[in-house]
Amino acid sequence: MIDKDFMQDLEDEEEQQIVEAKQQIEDEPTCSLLKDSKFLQHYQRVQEVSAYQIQDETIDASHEEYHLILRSNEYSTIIDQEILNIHKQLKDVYHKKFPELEKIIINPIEYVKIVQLIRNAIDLQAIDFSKLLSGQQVVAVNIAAKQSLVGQLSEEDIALVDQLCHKIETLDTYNQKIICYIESRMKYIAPNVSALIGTQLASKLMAAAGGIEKLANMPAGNIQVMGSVKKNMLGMSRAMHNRNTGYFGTLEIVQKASGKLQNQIVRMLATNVAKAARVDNMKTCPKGNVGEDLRIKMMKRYQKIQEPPPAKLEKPLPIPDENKKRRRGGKRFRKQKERLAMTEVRKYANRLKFGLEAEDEIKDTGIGLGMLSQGIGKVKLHIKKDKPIGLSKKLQQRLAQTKTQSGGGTGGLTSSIAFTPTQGIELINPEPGYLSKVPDQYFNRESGFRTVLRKEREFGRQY
Amino acid sequence: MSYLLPHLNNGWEVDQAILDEEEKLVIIRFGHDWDPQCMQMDEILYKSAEKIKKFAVVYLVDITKVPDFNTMYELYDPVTVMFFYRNKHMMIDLGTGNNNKINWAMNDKQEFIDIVEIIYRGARKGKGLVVAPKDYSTKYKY
Repeated sequence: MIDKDFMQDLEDEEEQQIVEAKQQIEDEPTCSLLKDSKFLQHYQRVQEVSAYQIQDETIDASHEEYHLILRSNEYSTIIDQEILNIHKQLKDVYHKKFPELEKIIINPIEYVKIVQLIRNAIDLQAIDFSKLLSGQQVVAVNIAAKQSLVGQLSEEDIALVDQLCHKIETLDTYNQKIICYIESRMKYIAPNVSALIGTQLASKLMAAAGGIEKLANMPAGNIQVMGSVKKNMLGMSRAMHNRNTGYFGTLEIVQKASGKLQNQIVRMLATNVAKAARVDNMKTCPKGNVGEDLRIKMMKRYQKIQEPPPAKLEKPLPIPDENKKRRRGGKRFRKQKERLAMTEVRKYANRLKFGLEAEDEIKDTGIGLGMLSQGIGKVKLHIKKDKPIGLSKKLQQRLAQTKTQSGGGTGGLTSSIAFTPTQGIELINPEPGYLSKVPDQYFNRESGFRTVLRKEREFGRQY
Repeated sequence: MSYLLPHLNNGWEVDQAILDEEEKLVIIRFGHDWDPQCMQMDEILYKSAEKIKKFAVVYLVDITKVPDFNTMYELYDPVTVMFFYRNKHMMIDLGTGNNNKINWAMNDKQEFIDIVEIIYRGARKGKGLVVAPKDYSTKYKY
């Protein structure tokens, strides 16, 4: 039995070391991880332990390998970061020699291998890339080389390039070993996720996420696209390139599926992985039952999706029976009926009293006012012929005015005022001083200050 | 298609078929299964049989096997279709001059269903003669 406090201290110490290591990398760009003693120790331990098989079923905090696995995960992410840094440096140096290579080959490991093959050469015809690259990439590299392969690197530069390549290679091998180890122990770290998608994919996901906790906190959409590689399409058509291929694209089920089905299955997998990861994070199900259940349900659902739609039923026509119109009662329908019902006015308009003649009629049609105009009966009509109906008094007055004035045919261009020798217009100045007969003089009493004049008038001649 | 529709093999069966149906219209095609015009008509009958099965039933009669009705109904054409409702023969004004039967092969399923519907409506109301929705007096022109 190991003392809990002791384990805690150990944990804290190791955490600190990790933090330090990260710090170191940030400070000194050229790799220090390979020189880091803690890391090398860790790596050795991993190599030793890889040979053993786990005897217990579960790994919890008290198990000696638990911390090893956690550290491995963290180191894996650190190594990835390191490789990217060194790759950047390598690109900067090699840019002088072959600038376009970095755009064709994006993967750092591949780039390193190619650089090691080319080194300082000018002519690429002698070099055989076919083992490392696909056909399109080989062609692209050759064509780019013809255009941009310039000059020679200095001795120093070549030495630096070699060094950097070597570093990346070693880091890569370490990374591979660590990932292998994690994969072997995956069943114990995240049993549910492994039950769902298999240990290999589970370890990849976990490594990419940076730990089971981070994987658990990711939304399913992110998990779905994890691992999608940025590929340079080299002028190829993007029509058939499925955007969804991430880590999930490597699964057999996904590869067997076609088109839309592929998207559906990947989505289903991603959501279930998210659920399983959360369970694993909480460690509520160490045996992996949840993962199994999820898998069974998912496969059932997947089967159901693939079924064809049900056959089309041809319905026979209904019997051409004239249904009896159901009459409905109630206030609403009574009101509706009232609107269309026969009114008293209409009744009276349709009839004529015997012996009396009809008065108003619409031309020769015979449609007229009937008994309404005859003034006999319950309904009597008062027709005001002079007053137009529906106008207010004001409007009627205006109408009357316009009738008397112009016939309306002059429009707006003529006015109703006519100038004759006897009749004309006099324009009056509205100012008060105008009407006085006293001629305008500067120092006239009348033409003084306005305010003074006003006060004089008001208060008398005191001024 | 004629193998998918029920056949009536003797006069008694024909009588029974017409008498038994009280709710539905009885449609009987008189002709031969191997005759091309009959075959065409049979196809139309078969296609519409499923749709009109709620108010009509279709039978096929071979006029060499069952010669009993040849003089009665004047079955001298390659294909003849007649309609019966509650043991009464229904007449249709098709514009051809012969109101008793359809004696050519129709080519449109929907037309036939329309005719059947009109006959059914008329029969329900007690009419002996109904007017078809389309005039077939010029059917040979196109």
